[in-house]
Amino acid sequence: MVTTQASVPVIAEILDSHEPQLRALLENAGQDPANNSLVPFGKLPNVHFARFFILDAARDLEGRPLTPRLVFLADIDGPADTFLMFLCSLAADGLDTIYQHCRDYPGRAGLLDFLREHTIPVAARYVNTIGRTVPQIHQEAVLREAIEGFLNRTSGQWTGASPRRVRAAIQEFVEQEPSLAFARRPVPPPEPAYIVGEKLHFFLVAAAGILLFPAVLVGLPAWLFLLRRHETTDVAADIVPTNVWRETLAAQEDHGVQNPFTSAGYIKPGPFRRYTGIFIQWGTNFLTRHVFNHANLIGVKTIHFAEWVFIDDKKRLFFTSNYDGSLENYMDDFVDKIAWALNTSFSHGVDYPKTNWLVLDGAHDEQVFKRFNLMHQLVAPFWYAAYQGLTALNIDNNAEIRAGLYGAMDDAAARAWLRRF
Amino acid sequence: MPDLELDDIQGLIARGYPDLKAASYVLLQIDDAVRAKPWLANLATQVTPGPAKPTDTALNVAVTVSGLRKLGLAEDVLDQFSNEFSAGMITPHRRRTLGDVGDNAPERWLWGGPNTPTPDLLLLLFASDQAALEQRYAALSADLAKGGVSLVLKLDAFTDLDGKEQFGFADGISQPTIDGLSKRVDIPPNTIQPGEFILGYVNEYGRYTDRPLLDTSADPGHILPLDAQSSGKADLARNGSYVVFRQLAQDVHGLWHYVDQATQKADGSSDPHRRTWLAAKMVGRWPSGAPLTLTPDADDPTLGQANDFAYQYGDEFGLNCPIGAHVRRSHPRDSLDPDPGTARSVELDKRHRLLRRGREYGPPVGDAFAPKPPGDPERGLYFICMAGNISRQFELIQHTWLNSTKFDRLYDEADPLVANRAPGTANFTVPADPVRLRFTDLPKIVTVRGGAYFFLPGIRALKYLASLLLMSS
Repeated sequence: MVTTQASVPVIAEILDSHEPQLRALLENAGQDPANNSLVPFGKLPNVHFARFFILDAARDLEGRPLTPRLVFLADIDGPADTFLMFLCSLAADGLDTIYQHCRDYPGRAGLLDFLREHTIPVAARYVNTIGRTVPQIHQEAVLREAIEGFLNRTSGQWTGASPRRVRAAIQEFVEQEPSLAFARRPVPPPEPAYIVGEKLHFFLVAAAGILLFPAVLVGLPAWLFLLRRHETTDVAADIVPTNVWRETLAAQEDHGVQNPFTSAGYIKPGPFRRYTGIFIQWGTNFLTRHVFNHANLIGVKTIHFAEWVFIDDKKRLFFTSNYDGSLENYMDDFVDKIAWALNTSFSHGVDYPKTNWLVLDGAHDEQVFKRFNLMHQLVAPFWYAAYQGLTALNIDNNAEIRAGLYGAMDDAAARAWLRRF
Repeated sequence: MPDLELDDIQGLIARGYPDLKAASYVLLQIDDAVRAKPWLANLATQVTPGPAKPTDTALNVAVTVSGLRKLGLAEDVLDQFSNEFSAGMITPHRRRTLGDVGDNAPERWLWGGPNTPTPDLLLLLFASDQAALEQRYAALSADLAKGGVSLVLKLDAFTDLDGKEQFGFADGISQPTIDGLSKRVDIPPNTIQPGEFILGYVNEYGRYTDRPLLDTSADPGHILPLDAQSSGKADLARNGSYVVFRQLAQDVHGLWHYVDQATQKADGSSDPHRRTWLAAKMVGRWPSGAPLTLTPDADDPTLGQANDFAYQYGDEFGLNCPIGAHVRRSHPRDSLDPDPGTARSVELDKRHRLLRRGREYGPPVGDAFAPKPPGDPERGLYFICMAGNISRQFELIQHTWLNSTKFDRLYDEADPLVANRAPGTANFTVPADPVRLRFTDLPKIVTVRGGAYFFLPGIRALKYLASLLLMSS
């Protein structure tokens, strides 16, 4: 049975003046996110990524005060509620220590209910490959390393050998290696009910889209008129981050292969941006579920998980992602490969670089876009990554290595498969 | 074609002075800014401009952020320089991404580190021979004390290795051609917008890279050029560039001993062809410079300057030039996402190019296969390159392409030549049919010995800096 992934954001108000203590607590635990005494995520076998971060006290666009918030966000295998129960059974003491700094926290006995009640929906999310679990990722990394070791040990034996002969030797090695017993069978394909359900969802939504299309066409000129009016009058403050702020952000980056990205901003005032933004997030979610659900987000192959989450009555949005490589490279990917998509998604945010016709300009202005991101980025004092040594490309290659163990192959296919090592 | 103000551009951007075989890099400190002003004003008149093709000596001048500060540039102007330049090369984050940890840590550097004097100015001095160089340097150094500046360190490049770098490979073949700089016509993938290397011009995004712009009131003498974007401001950086300078020690014996041992025959004897083959696989070019992609089995000196080639068609899997080879990492041409083999991939590559102007130092190795003699002097490369955007150009190449163990589709190997060696990353894969070869336990061959980011101003900007009134005076 296919195990799908969920993203669980839990948001809670921080008690007055507790924010410094809470931050210190999280920073301390964040030194060792897998094994710390508060929430040792390494003991949770189904968590891909998890982070805690703080939204500072602020004022909204109308000047009303916003209390500081603690956000917890986990990317997991399986249903959210099972995860929360498991989390509470593993780390009740630690979570109690954390959430006693939050408003309305009822104490340990009410921990699970508190987390459930403070879980909010994600507006959109991206999963690199839907259905690929943490244990599978770990196992397939072990498999690849074992085969690499086998190839190293047998190096020199294969001169002039046919690719099929080498593959047969690898298959035999895997078959006989007890620690690789899991790899004797392929990953089970998704069950028919899941496939049918997904297809049904896709076609029902698509059919609804076709039915509504005439209405959309009728409304399109008015929408475009409003879009242009907003685009020509929106003010985009271009603020240059200080070196100190850059270093504060960079302190959390490039300790391993993967990095966290956390950012938050306000949605531009008025119904046009609000409802356009909501629709775009809905559309994003639809596309990541049905189209960009395997190792490739419109050409970007370095993102493991990403979430768009509305808060404060959809007047604010935070965006989180877990990506491979440096921030500079991540931003260059955005600018070079999918600037139009970034514009579509984020141009409803205050101060986003000026766009034209929704997709033009905006993130195409490299340096202004990079500054915008730096000015909206947040530090995540606690960030856990379950497979920090693997890029999304590595993980996908490992899965292909495993898939290539089964079934018949001619020499050309076997040669292509052997190039994965 | 962009119209470049060549007369205002320092000559080193236009050419590397290949005929001026001798070179020194002189790091200076400003002790007395008041006296340094007339000295610098005089020096600015001696700077070799872009159009000049000197046959005797050439002089170029660069400055660090501390130098600009001492010369009296206001903080709000300094803030407009790039973060890389103003924060410097040795921030905690840059140490991680540039690989400047362990043996490479700035604490061990000969210059530019936290324990050595911070250079304010850099004189790049070139001459036709050693005697001419010494003569010119003597003339320059005679004025230093009077000019309120003192010598931090003088770095002497080795005269000439006949176009090879210390490992014995031809170097500097793949230089970008700056569009509009000369009449030289190059292939489109290698013709780069001037803004990638010269500030104040359009870059590969069709935009102007951030740079310090001043109210014209800050330039009452109208020394500076005006902002080409018509903001009405004076452009302090137009015709200037950023300079990345790193002193890289090369363990030439280490490289050749490794490839010799790794390719020994069954009887334990050396295999000269095979060891050169392995070193060439690491480099991506043969000693003559011939690219492995074009001639995979043996060197072909007729291809020594070949630069019109790509990877995707014909060498997609690295069977000729390994994915992890140094030249493929540092200049992936058409091989990276999006859409390898297409114009989109080349477009991306063009946004990550460097204009290299480095030179070798230290005596060449006699016999690289002999044991390393005791007291063997340090040798290596004064790596010098220019970039309009250090972060997107030099730092991305250094981190994401060279130091990353995950470049392209790799897993656990950093650049076989220049990268630091974290545990588990000292591997090198040579793709082959039916099974790749894997070399392990690569030695650390290159060690960083010093470095800093500089700003190479346009000549008018240099005169402007010399004219600045000190805040204190």
